[in-house]
Amino acid sequence: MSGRAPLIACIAVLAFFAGITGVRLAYTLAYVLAFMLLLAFAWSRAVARRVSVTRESPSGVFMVGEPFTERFTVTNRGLLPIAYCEVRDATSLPGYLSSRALSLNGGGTVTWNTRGVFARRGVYAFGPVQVRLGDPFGLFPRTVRVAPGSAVTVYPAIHAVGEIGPLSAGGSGGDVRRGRPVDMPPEVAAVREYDPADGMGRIHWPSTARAGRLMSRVYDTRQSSDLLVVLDLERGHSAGVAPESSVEYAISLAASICHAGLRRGQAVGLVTNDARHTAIGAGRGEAQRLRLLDYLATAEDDGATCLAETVRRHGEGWRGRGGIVVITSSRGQEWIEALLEVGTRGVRHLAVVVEPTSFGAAGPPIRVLSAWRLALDWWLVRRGDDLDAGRRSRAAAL
Amino acid sequence: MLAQGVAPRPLPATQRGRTAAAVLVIALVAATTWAVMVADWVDGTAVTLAAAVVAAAEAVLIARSLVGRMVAAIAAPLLGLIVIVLLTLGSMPADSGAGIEHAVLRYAGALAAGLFQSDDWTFLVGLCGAMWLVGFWTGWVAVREQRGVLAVLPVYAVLAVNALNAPSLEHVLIPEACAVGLSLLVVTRTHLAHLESGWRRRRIIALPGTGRSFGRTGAAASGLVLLLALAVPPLTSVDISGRIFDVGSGQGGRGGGQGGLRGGGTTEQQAPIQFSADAQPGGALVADPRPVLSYTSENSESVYLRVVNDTVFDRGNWYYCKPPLARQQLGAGGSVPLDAEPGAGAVGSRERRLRVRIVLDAAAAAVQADALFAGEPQSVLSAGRVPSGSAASCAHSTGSAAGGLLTVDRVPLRPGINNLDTVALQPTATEAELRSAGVDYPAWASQFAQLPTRDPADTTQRLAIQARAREWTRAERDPYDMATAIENHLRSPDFTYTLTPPRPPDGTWPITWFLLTSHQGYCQYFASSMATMLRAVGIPARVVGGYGGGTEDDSSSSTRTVIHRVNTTDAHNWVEAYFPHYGWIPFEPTPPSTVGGQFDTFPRGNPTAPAGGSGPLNAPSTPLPAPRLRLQADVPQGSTVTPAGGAPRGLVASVTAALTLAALALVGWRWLAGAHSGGALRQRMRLLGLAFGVRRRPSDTDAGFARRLASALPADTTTVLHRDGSAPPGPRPVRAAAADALALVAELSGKERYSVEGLLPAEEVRRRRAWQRVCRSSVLLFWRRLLAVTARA
Repeated sequence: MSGRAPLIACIAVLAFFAGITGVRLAYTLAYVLAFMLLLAFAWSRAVARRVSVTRESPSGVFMVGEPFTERFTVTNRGLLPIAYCEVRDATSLPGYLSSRALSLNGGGTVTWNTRGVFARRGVYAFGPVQVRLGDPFGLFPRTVRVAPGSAVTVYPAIHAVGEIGPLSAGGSGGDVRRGRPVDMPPEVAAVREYDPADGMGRIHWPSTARAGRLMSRVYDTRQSSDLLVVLDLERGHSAGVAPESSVEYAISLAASICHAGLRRGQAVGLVTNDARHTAIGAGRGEAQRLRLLDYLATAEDDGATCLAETVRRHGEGWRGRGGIVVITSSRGQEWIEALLEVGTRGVRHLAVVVEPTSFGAAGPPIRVLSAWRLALDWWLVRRGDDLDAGRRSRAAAL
Repeated sequence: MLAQGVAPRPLPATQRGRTAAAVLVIALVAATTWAVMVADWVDGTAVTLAAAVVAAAEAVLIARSLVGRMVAAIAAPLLGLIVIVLLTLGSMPADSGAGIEHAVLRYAGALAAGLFQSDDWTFLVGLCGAMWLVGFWTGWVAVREQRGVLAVLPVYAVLAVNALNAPSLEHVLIPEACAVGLSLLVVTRTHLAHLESGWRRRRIIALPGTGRSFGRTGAAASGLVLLLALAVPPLTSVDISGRIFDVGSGQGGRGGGQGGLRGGGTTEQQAPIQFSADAQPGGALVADPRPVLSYTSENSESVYLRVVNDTVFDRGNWYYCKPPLARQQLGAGGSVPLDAEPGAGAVGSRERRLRVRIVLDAAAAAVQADALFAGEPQSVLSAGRVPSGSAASCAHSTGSAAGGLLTVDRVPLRPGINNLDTVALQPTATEAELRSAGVDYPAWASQFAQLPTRDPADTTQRLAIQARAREWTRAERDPYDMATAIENHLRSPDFTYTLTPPRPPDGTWPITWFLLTSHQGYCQYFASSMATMLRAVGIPARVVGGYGGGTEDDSSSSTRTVIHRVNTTDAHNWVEAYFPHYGWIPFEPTPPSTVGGQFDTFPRGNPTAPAGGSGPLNAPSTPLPAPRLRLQADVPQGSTVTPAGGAPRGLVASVTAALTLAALALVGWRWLAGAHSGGALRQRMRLLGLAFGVRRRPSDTDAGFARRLASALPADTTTVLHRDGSAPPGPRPVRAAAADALALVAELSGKERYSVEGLLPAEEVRRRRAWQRVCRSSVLLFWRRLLAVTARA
């Protein structure tokens, strides 16, 4: 309530008594209030039409932790000074405050920079910007929308977890495959007819000799090294407050593992038990990476399906295609049994457990049976762990 | 693991802003109370200043203690009551009651309805309560609720009531202008506080200098509004409140100010001398002359102009009867329906006709909606036509069979008529004839010989007056001599004419105090007293209200007809007594004086009757030239006339000059302190050096000149002794700060000029702030230098 109604009533009463008495001072009092009202209206209207705001905002795709800078310029194109001008920025980025209050002389310009960091994953809007200004008496505040908004997508933080991954068939228990898959020589799975596009190195000369025509090698697609990431997004398992919550850690780990797998040339798929039962089929390349990160940027732990069911449903179809990485902070044991059920000889799946007690959840720390420790690879992540180091915690350490 | 957003710099606390708002609020309340005090429409208003200021301060403190509204609503009235009781307990008049319970009841009554009471103490307590309420409201709403407009509206109500009640605006104008200006500043300051609260709540960061810039803009807007309001003339200058509100009927009225809402005439307090429909002897008067009318009369003689007869006596005051007991429309030719039969007693047998042409001032015409006559009303025309009006009578009987009125006590006309041509009858009976008139009064005349009282106290006073009247008339045998004796006593040196008569004690009629004790008063005292004494000795009498003869217009002295000019200070009361066969005979009990004017007794007989001046009633007479009203510009210089519709030029000029000086100072300051480029800074620094007696040499570098300038600044240890040898408190250590800032400015200017990369943005900011520090310090340092130079001289 700006007080306009009582002010107008007061002016009317004063004007009435001034009119019937003809007293100069009574007129002056009525004039003061009337002129205040009129001046405030004209002032507010005039400055609202003459103010402009320009904004240089970041746009596109960013990753958690990246800094950014914005530049605002407010210009008063009129002659009247602007007593106050609130530049209200509706940016939804958490922890970022770019709204400012300022005062402008006639024809003046004010410029300022704001710096921030993308602290959380998600899709965020920069702006729109509204300017609230008015007269010095506060009678006619006005709000003007002066700059449209733009949007950015912030991907989860990706850490260097390259050596983390499920063991492929043929490996011995407890060993970890070292090195990048692209460095290993390809294995020939079969031969086929020669294609003119094939290089000379691809010709399988023994078969050519036997068949009497050019034959080319068919390399092993290494299906067994594909990766399925199962991310637990069941509601109620998360502990802590974002960004220091177990689900944020889990999502960041999922993004990191997917990213690492794709960098190794693996086909990576992602399955979650969120409300939409999201399942992204295995694939390779940059498009798959963006597809996965786009989903992970907005993923929420809103699911109602238990992790064990998700593992069973998607693990059966994945059997023999490669390893499975389950990322969860669940204390339950059903998902472990389900993961063991979908196991394949010679392939050790990886269980990444984000320890909920380290995020403030009540209860004892997670304990894993010895048998499970031997059957699966385990990585226990606690709050504050240096994920870039990619250290694995063995089940024995649990 | 996950990065945090960059935390913004927290908002600075607004402690200074809240303090400024509190100071402004207290100053506003003090200015408002000051305006009430100087208005002087009630005694003892100084205590309201304490009540209001304490209330505002209390509200500010409670608001800043952040207690809840409920706590404030409970605590505030208790504290206010304590303050008011402490301020007014000493002046509480004694009465028949006793005990704390009785005192509590008196305070409760006074606080609840004191503003509507005429008793001084009760009114004062009520006023204290009202001012305390206004002060607390203003402080609380401005500081706590942060609603500036709502906070100051009660102040405007007080200022308006004060303006309407003030007898004169001469002393009220300045404090009210101050209060209005402060109120506008309070509104802007409160709005800024409200904005800052919102910014803190919504985590909006205010850029540096926002508050200062807002304050400057708000002050400029406030000054503009005030200047406009002072410059724009009022739409009207005519008081027509009497037509809307039935005030001014007399009894119990308090006030007497500019508007008719204040009681319609002179009452207990100071009031401008002007026509009053009722005669209420009261307090002091203030001369505020304004033109009312000009007139020409046959033979150019000066005449008293009758407007109204006050026939109703009540507690020493005389009132026009409301409503009139009889009323008749004007007749053909504008004839007043006054019974013309001498046998009926309405008119005398020895009369002369006197015609007067009157031109009313435009402003007065709207107020003076009555015809004016040089005697007993006979006829009235306006521009040759019968004006819309009627004749009103306070006599119970309608008179003769002809249907005429026995008395015509007022001839109200349609407002706005400013041109009157009136004919009246003046008695020409000689003293001998009046002495022989006898006491054979007609029956209707008895109503004009009554002195009704309401209670025993009134009766006591009436008897005291009656005793004094009998004492003065003991030696006389006939009514005329008795009336003359009373007139002579009142005109004797025992009685003094004054515009500032002493106030009578509570409960005592002013005329009783006047007749028996003070012997000081103005025309209302004399006329009311004589009329009362005449009735006390059985002679029918009435008080006549109107205007004295006015002054001759010098510019008309060379012409055949003299123009008389009448202003508000010519308002006058005189007395008429009824004599059988001769009608109403005027008497002038007011003595001549240098203050009031030359009041001569009425001549008897027909010494000034011009040839042909008296004749048959309604006979045609020689046309009179219409008088010409003097323009405002003709008002002599140095007179106290306040133009009714003009702006207060002195105040407008003062405010304009002050605002101009402030604007010039602001522009100069911004020019000096707003320099930010290297060249501009060098130029300003050179000027600063000249002010301190240091001239820049061509060989001076920026740093070298800054060092020389810093060494020339007055030392912080400079002490200027007063004439009595005492020393003021130690000076503020500003020299060192100014020297450091100068060195920084010079260093950065040198870097800007000679380095390849120039100045970084942060360095530019540092240099600008350092230069502003230099400018701020230089004001005080320059003042010290002036003092030192003066002391040496």
